[in-house]
Amino acid sequence: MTNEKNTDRIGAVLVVGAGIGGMQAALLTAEAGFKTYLLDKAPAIGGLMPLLDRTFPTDTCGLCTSCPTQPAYCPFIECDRHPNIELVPYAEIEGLEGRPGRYRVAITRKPRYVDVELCTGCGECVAVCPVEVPRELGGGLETRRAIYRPYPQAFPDTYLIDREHCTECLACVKVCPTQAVNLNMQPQSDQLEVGAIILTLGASAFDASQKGEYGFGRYENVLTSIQFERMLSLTSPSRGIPVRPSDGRVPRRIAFIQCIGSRDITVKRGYCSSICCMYAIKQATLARERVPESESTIFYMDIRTFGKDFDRYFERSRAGRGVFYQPSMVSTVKLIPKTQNLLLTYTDARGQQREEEFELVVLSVGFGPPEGGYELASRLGIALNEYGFCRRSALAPTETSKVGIFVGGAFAEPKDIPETVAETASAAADAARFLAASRGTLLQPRGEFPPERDVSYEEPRVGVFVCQCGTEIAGVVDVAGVATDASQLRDVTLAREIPMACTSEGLEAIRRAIAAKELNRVVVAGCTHRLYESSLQDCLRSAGLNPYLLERVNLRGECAWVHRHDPKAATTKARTLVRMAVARARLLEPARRTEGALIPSGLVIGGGLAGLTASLSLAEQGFQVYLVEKEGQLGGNLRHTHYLLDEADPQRYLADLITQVESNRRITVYRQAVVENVSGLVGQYQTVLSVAGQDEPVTLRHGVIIVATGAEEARPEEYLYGEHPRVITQRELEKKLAGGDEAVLTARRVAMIQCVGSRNENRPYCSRVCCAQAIKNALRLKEANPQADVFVFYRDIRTYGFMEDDYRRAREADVVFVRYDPEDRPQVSPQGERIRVVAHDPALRGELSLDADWLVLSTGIVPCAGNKALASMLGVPLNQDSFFLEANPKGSPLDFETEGIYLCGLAHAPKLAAESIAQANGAAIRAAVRLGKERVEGPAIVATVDEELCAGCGLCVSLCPYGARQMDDAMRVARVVEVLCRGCGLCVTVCPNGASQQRTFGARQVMAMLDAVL
Amino acid sequence: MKFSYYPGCSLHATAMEYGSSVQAVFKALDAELVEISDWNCCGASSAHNLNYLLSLCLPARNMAIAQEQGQTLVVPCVGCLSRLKMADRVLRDDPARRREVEDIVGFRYSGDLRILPPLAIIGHDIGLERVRGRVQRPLEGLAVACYYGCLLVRPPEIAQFDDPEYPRSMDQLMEALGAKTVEWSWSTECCGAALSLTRRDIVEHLVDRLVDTARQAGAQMIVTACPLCQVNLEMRQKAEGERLPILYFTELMGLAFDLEGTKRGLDQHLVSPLPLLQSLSLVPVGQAF
Amino acid sequence: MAHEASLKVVPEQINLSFVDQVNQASGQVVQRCYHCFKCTAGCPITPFMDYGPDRVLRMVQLGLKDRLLSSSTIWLCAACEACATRCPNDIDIARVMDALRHMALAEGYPVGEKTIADFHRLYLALIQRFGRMHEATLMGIHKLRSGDWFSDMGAGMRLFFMGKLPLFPHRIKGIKEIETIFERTMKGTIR
Repeated sequence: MTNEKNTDRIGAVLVVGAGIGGMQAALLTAEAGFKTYLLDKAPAIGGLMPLLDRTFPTDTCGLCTSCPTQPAYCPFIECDRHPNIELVPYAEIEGLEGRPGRYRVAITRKPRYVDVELCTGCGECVAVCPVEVPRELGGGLETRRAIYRPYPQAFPDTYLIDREHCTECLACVKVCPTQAVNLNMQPQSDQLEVGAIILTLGASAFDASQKGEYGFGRYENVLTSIQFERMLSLTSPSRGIPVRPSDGRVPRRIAFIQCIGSRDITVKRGYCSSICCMYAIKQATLARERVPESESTIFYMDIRTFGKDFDRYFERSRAGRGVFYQPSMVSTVKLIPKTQNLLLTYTDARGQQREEEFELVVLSVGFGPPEGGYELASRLGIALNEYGFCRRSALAPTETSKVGIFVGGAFAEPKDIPETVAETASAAADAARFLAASRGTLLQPRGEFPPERDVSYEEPRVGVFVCQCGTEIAGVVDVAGVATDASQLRDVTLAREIPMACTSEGLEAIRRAIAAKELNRVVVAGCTHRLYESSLQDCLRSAGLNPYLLERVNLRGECAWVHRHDPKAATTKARTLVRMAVARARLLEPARRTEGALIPSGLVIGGGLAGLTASLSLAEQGFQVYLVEKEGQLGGNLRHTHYLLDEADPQRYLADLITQVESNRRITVYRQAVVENVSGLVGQYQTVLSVAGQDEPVTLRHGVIIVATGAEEARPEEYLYGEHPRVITQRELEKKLAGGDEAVLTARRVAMIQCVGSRNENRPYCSRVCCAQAIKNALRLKEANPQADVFVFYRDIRTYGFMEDDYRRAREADVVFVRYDPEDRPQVSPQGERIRVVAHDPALRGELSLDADWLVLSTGIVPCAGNKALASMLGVPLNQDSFFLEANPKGSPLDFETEGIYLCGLAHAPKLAAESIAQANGAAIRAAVRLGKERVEGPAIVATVDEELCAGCGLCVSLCPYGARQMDDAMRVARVVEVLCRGCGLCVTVCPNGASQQRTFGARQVMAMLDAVL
Repeated sequence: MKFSYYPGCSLHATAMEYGSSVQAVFKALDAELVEISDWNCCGASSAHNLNYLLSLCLPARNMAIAQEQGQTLVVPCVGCLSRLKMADRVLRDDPARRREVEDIVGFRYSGDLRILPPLAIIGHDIGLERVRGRVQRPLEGLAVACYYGCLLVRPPEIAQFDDPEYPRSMDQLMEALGAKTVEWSWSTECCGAALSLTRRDIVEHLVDRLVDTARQAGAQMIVTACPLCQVNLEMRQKAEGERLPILYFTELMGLAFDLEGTKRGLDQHLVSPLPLLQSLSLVPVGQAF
Repeated sequence: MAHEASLKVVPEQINLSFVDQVNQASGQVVQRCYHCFKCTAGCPITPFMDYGPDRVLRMVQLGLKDRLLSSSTIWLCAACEACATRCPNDIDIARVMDALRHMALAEGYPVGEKTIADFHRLYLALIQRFGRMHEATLMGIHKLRSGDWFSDMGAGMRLFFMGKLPLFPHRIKGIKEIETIFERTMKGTIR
């Protein structure tokens, strides 16, 4: 893909659509050294993310609270403050000119009618606006005004006017204290010059009112899952408690109806939306958690919990009380007028019609192509599929029909967050490969700062700046009084009010005050918005101070907002907080980030599809790669795949990929090689290999590691496998079909059994690929031998996404699908040459028995036996099923918690070939970004050890989640590996002797703060 | 405005008050209905039960006649409407069938005959504004459940009228007359009219449900657009207890428009609406028609 | 209410080609059904059927022709089209039921609901004779034949006295055309 001669390509990327996928892609291209524009048609970035309070399967907010890897702390903030990312919110793409590598994109910036520079976010305009319309966030359950912020935490953090509903009463214009409201603003045309484009438009929720039988829009107590998700958010008006819109009562009986606008060809949504089963289980579980006496029933067709750890989540919800599953679609939802309850009609397991009353109904809406997707596609000249999603081919999951334009996330096919993150990372990798020769050509030059003043011999000279924040703080807190009070404190040289500390005027005022009064500690009492931390730090640096001589106080959140109705108490609290801050500030010491050298090369373990893809991607991004394969041949499991559900030829693809890898001068391949030992840390790993035929072990030095060790086909131990010659696995059938086996091509009847050895107590996960594989082989068999009757015995058919079309195609080709219950599995017995299969068929409401010429077992995927050893060598964890465990299943599916080690392919979890490719390519850019840093840089606020006090007990070493603690066996003291330390403070809290301290948060500083309160 | 008119067999017999009220109401709205000449039975629910081709040919003969007359064909009986529209759809989409039917019936299908129920004409061609302007005696105090039944809206690709699950046209019309309409989820559930004479047990079960739920929804009567439903709902209601009157929407239009010609029909119901209408002063007490 | 009949299918009974015949006759793709049970849940007649609608589709798929064509279900379907309207696989089950009935008649299967079949036959006979329906005759003969004379006597008499049951049938002028239609479509299968 890369053509390294193409230096005329523009080193800039346009990412279209700023949901989770777009934000992640933009962060990666920006970190990889490309100027990045992140455009969205909405006024705020974030896509669907602001809706999600909890995500499955961990039921935590996976995005900001539990994700230590950078850049993914909080993608909103990271995108907003990244020097290489330019946010282009509220803009539309008008046209595309130029050629791949040198695109000119015409855009229109839509007028907000509020000047972003002038708006202080005081909210006075909203208070006077007379217009109330449904708020877009959360499906219109709440209202907003015509002048509004999309939601409280929106980025960018300013207001806009919805001109469609604005009555032009001008009340906001008059009340705005900074004259920021301007109704005469016009759309502005602009042009962006970029080398590549990444489309991460996401998807849009199905309009449930199209399915009139369910009464959405007709009955108040019928909600969409979007609305219910919003209700369950702790920031909703009901604070996370589900309530009935009709009367505000808390529902005790809730029904979820699945597949609303999914798997339904009558509304042109023949595909599966892939995420609804899981979100419904999550919502039902959360509802139960919030209202313990509530019960939910989920009406479904197939439970599609195919993702990593999803089946466990499903089984857990089933084992607990309160979430019930009913395998029937609901025919109608009817209203019982007196109670406003809803009557649902369904069919029970015995085929009997049932009616059941519920207090609230949630429609699990599917997802369609994004709004405006057709127009955008025609402006960009890219092809869409029949449903309006971006068209792509099976083994190039992030390429569109146009060179230099890449796609990822739900715009390509409905998908969950981890797959979106992996796939958009892959799209970012594609862009980085495509523009490799232009990397770093368009970056903002970093500002130069004056040399740092040595303040260690100076007495503390503290400057206190009390921010008015427009009227947000000054309206409640006596700001002047707080400043006067502060000026009396010890070592305070200057204390003054400041109108708006975060504006460029405010920062300049602080800088001048530092210079004029020779301040050496700075306290800013205003907000502690993380966004402004770096600008304040830069302000100190520009005045010649170390950036860590800064202390911030949250007067806005902790005083003005929470004590809005008690200004006196707010002021008293503000004085105390400032006093504490000054006490700490006096004792602050300069700090700096730790640095180490980095070897710009990567080790890829595993030479299957994922490892090959990752190696090639990393090499094409300009880094040296060592690829280690334990077998004599590259290709892994893909060698056994002879055809796919679509036209692509996997063997030709694999051969081509291997050729590319072998001929790439940056890749060194080691076959029949085993990793014997890994030592070192990010940037400086040292790995020892033993290679067959070589006497001496090979030692490699590299900066990062990509784990791509794959997995294996399970061997069945039941259903006469190994006892009857006509009982085979899907892989064996595939081989026979590919080889034109006569006995298969003349078979009259073939039976397949799904979930053999999967989804049970021993192996409580779904192998994800077997349904597609069975359908693929069934179709291939019907094609080669139309006379054959094919029966598939299954528990849930899990053809997520567009594979649902293949499931339909198989049914239309007369493949008979028979559901079985794990408690009542099909019985098989030898019948001479044939095999008798007897099963209960719920569609027949009876017993079905047949004699099959072949019985084909879908056996699933098991982790490699060697995972445990490798995991302990690398110091990374495995999950309960012995697959490798990523840092965070939502936000960081490609990383381990240990920095510098990345994960992809079947080693992570069962997945399809295309998914492995995307994940591997994504892991490669994660690795490339790390290698592109040239040096390893740790945070400044890290743990320290007072060796005098350390008893060498080792408690901190065993507890450190980042491997940043090591025992110095000679000295019997613990040491901090500063580049690995994330400053989490765990070691400080557990140290029995107080030997562990946090830099700038030492006992001295903290005690001083406490003294200041008392 | 001039329309062709296909009454179907019922409107000359058990649903004659529907026929007379449709005629009167259209006349009052300055729309002329011209009955097509020498029409035949559409085959109703029996032809399609026994023979597919017959179920196309019987309606096709009527379409041939109407096609000659040129105007839009108004079909008040929903049973007939459905058969005509089904035949129309097949003749439109299936050339082989079309040639076969053309040959048997002896005509050439032109494909430009519009076939519509009166509700569509009133709601669209005439417009509810004109209906409102014609109201003399608003139906104040009357709460009705509008019953659309099956075939007026189903299957949607044949019926091509209103929302198949949440139709509103009759409700909007009733509101234009000043009546209150109730939120009633059963408005498109089947009453089983096709089985009325053969499986009374089933039909009574279905009708009971409809009448009970309509009453629970607060309705004082059920309004319908289909003669099969109307007769079935009247005949198969429980004999004992308070029974709900079942009226054609055109009868209520006639009442609101104060059309003399439609009032006699109010007396021709197995469940008399008169006590209710009298209690609401919509019909004078003791008046004989 | 009828309870669903229990079924047991042995290998020899399975015939996956029957579905092609039914598809051909009904214009549907029966085997596209994924058995979500929505049709059975919404069918007003389900409680009275020996096989619910989705089960009929499965029986078609497996080729259980004899049981299906002699079932009462295919005669009970009221053709209300609720199933067709709501089917996510766009299968018009009412059309499938039509096709099964036609097949049952053509191949001389014992009729599962004799009263209903007789009623339809009578209905068509009257149309053939007069070109239009004559309700008084229909009700009278139907009552006579089914032996259930008195059940609707009261209502019938009241309708009669209201003038809603004209006594004499009207024969249309173009009755010859109707006869042609019957001749060429039914080929004498009514009686």
